[in-house]
Amino acid sequence: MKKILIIEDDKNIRDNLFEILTNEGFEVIQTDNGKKGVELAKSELPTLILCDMQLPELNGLTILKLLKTSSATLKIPFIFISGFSDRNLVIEGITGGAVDYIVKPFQMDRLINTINKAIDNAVDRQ
Amino acid sequence: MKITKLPIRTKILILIGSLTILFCGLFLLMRRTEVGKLNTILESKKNENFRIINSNIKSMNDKIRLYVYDNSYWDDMVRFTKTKDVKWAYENIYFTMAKFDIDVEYVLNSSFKTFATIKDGKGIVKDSLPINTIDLAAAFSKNKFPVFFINTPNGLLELYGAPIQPSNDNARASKPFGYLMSGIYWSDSLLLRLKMQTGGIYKLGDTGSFANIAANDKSNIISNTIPLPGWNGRPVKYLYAQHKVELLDNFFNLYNKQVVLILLFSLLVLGSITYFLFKYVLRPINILYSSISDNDESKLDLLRNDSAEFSQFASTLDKFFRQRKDLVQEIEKRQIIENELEEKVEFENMISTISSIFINVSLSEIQAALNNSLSVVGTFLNLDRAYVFIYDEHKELLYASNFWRNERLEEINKNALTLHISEFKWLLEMLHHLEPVVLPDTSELPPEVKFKKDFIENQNVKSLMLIPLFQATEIYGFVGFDTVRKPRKFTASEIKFAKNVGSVFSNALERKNSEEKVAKANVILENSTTILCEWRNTPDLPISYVSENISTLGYSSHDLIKYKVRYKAIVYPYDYEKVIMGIAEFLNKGKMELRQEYRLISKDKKIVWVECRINSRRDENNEIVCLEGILTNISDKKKVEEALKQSEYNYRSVVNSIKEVIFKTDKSLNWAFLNPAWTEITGFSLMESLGSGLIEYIHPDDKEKINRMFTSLFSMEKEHCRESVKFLTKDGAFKWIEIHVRLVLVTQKNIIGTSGTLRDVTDLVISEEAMRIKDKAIHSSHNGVLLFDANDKEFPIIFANPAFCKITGYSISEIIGKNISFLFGENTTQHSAALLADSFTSGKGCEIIIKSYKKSGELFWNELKLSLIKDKDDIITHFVGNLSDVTARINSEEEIKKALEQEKELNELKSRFVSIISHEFRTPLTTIFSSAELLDRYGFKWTEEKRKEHLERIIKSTDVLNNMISFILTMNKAESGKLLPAPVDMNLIKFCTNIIEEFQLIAGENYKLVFNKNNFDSEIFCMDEIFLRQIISNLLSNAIKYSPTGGEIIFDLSLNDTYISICIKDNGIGIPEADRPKIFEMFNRAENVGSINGTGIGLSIVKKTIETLGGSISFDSILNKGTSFNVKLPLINKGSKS
Repeated sequence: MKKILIIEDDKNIRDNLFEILTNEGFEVIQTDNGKKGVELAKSELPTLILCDMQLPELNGLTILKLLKTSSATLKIPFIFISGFSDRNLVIEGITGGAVDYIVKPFQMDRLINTINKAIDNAVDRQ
Repeated sequence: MKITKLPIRTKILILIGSLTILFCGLFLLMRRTEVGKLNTILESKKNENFRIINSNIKSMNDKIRLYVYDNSYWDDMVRFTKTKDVKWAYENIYFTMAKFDIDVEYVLNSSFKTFATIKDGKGIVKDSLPINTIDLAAAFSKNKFPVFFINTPNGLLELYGAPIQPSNDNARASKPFGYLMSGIYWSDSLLLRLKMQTGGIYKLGDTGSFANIAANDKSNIISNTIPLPGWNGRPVKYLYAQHKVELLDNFFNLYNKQVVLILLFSLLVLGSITYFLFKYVLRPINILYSSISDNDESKLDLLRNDSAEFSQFASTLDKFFRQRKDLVQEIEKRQIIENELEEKVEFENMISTISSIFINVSLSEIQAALNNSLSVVGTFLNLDRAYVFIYDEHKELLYASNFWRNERLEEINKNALTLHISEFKWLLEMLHHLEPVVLPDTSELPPEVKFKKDFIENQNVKSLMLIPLFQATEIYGFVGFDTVRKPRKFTASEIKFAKNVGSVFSNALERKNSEEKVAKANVILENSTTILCEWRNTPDLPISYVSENISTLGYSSHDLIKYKVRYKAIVYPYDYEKVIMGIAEFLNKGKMELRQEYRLISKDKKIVWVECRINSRRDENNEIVCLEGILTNISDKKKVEEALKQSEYNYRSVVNSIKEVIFKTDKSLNWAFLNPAWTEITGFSLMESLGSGLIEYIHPDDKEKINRMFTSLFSMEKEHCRESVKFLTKDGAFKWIEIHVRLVLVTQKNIIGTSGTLRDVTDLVISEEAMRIKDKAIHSSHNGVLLFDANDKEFPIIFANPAFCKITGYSISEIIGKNISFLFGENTTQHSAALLADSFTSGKGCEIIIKSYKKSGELFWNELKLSLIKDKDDIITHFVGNLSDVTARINSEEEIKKALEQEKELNELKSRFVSIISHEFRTPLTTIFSSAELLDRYGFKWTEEKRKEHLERIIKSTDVLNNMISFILTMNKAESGKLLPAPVDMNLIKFCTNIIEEFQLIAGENYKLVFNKNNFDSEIFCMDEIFLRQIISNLLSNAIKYSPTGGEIIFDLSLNDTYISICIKDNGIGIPEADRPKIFEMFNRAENVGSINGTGIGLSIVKKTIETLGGSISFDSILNKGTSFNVKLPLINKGSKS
């Protein structure tokens, strides 16, 4: 079963994401803290990571950087999901290695499509 | 020597001689045969004579023999031997003796002792027989009747002996009673008797050889020698006999006449033959021979009239002669050449021997090689001494560096090995022509060179040859050869040979010198920074040799030569192509030397500038063998050069740009130096002026004036003079020139010239009035005007107008010579100050506004315009500063600027605010949107509870959104001043208690809220309830939010004179140091909030509200211990409600 890690500090959004993805048949693990998110990514090795930009302890860009330096987590598709829509931030996220950048609020179908596509691409690449 | 080789004349003589000898031989042989026959006859005649003489002698003495025989065989005699009766003897013997011609009679006893001696005519005497008994016994033992001769003082005595025996003894065999010896003396009468009996001449002699008796013709004389024996048979005397033979006389006469005839005849024949031969054979042959041998064909004419054969022969020979003459000449020439060649070869061999001595000779062995060569040459030319003298310039000496002498010579005086130049200048002069000096016989030296002669004779030199040793045309010594025993001539070849020896020596010495130099140079080189290098001529310049001191660049020569490090790698990459191109061009053009300056990279990667001088070495075919170069480290030089270039430039620009003429003259006032300003002022070029007299350029009107000036200067009345005079210009006009001149002295009184300046003051005079007007304008200007000297690096102020002083408060004397920066305050960091400084140094104009200080310290805004003053050559001479006080203007400008900046800041804040606010809006929107979608999609199958949960989420998020909007509105109101408090009387204590209770209710049992109120005498205050609630609830909510479960929150409310103090204290997580300054900024949350929810707007609203109320807020916080916020709100009087 495909496992998705959600790193999101807003409880409501996190819960809703859990709901959506579980309904889509994914196994979902979640955390509200950047540091824990990195630990979970390394221990659980999820199929995909959904991550907020502004987070306690570590922000999204730092998390991405940490995961990209570890060979185990290097190839896990990483998608930002953030309320910030600044162009510079988006560019920074994508160049840092994220496969996509979803701006909140998101449409459910588009979210799922994005996730599936990212997973397929990752599988193809492997 | 063989006969065949003898000349024909000799042969003929030999032939004639031999014929003569043969003829004589034959004649002699014939004669000898005849003489032989004759001799035989003579011999027989002689023998016959001999026999006759002998028998004559025998018969002559037969009487004695008979007497002796008879008397000894007589009894009386026997008796006598016993009786020795003298009387008897006297009567019987003495008287009979004469009858028998006996001269003496000896009677001997049986033992041969004389007992009676009877002499004829003397009677019985006492003489005894003069022969000893033993001899007598021996004689008697041989023969019973011995006959023998003895020599006595009375002459030769012939003795006849017999034994005395009795008469009855017929056989005479008995023992004798004694012996009888009778003798006769061979006196002249006896010899006469013989002559008479046989003819001839007789004589007695002591030797066996015949002694001449007669002097007449020997040819017809027969000589005989008859020995007269003693007792033992050996002759005691000889008898010589000569007889004349008539027959022989005749024979010889006839014979000799024949011989003479034959001889005459033969001589005649031989003479004729000889004459003929000489006349007709030998003479022509002789003529031919002499003409051939003398090469004189004229002699052949003598033969022309001779016999046909010789005449023909002569003409043929004459022809032959002519041919031969040519041939001989040819041969002679060749022979000379051959001889010369032979000699030359010999000398050349010797030269090569000597040269070979010097081949492969090391430096230290050159002296030995020279010595060796001297001895070889000296021995070869059979000389007595050979030497090399070297000229020592420093000591003014000629000293013998090498010396050889014949072993048979005595050692030379040491003094002669060093010659003082002063005494031997003539020697060097003689050698000066670089040709050998040859004196075959020093005794022939002319007397005028006496001093030379003295020296040579002191040295006992007989012949002398000196070969100069020179390099280029510089003599540095000579090789000398001489003889001291006898004079000797030197042939041209020998001189040439000696010259060659000289040049071999020169080469060797030169080589020695140069090798010594090389050795020294090597030492110097290795210690110097100059690197020797040799490259093969292939494109990448491989190094075939490099001196060890390449190590100064960090490389080892071995690595470079072995190509471990390539030259290309050493050359600075940007320079490499230039180097290669330079070398290629150099080789193509065939120049002598190439000089390049380029950079090398040392092993420690430093850049080193080198000067590389390259020569190409070529072989006989002019093909390039290799490139030789010297690399000199010129890094330092390069730096110095740069500095020099700079200073030279500076100097030049200073000297050249100076508008004044700078000049120097010599003592006679001729121009020695002039700078270009001279040409500019007068129009005369420097070339035509330098060397000519200063006075020539003075206008005739002023000549007297200038002469006076120089007179007073030269008399040293004045140190320097200044005078304005008219100088002629090239266009024929004149200019007013101010001449300022001073003396150039070496010592105090030794004048070597003058120097000074010339200044064109023509314009000055003309423009004086205009200047005065301008000056006035500047003086009356309201703006400050400054003049700066552009030639001084400090750019000092050289002029300031009164307006400047008025503006700044400084007096002129205080500012002249100063740099303007003193106006800007000490160590100003103003950007415009730097800009101004830059304008000065780069020579640009500028316009700045700069904060400046008056003398009083008062600040003023100074608008400064800097412009340039240039001369004709476009060189900046001065800067002009135009200064005005713009403080009033700047102040207003400053305000506008500030406002603009504030607005800009606000704009930035706003855009940041929008960005943050949109994010904050999106968060609840996301929840709303996703929950709504979930409800829409799955709501139908969800439980009621779950649907409610999502709906509540939506409501809650909507509430957040709403709060946010009201916050923004509040903020907006606050910013635009529309947020106005509406204070009303209210019960503050109750109000606060209610809020506490509300929060306690929300927080439940997890948190404890404590409310303390102090100093309150009244509970009613006039306050804006909404504002107050916003403040308190925000602070309380934060205190609870950031406190751990079970935390205590203390709310202190105090009343002071003028304000109400609210203090809300928690024991929560605290605020980190770094976050404290920004804690009241919008959307700012501390680092340590973790997952605690919040928007970061609460505190900023609190602050805004308090500020609106005219109060203040502060906080104290300890990380992880807690935070307390203190709020002070001013009390509002009831009456001032409006």
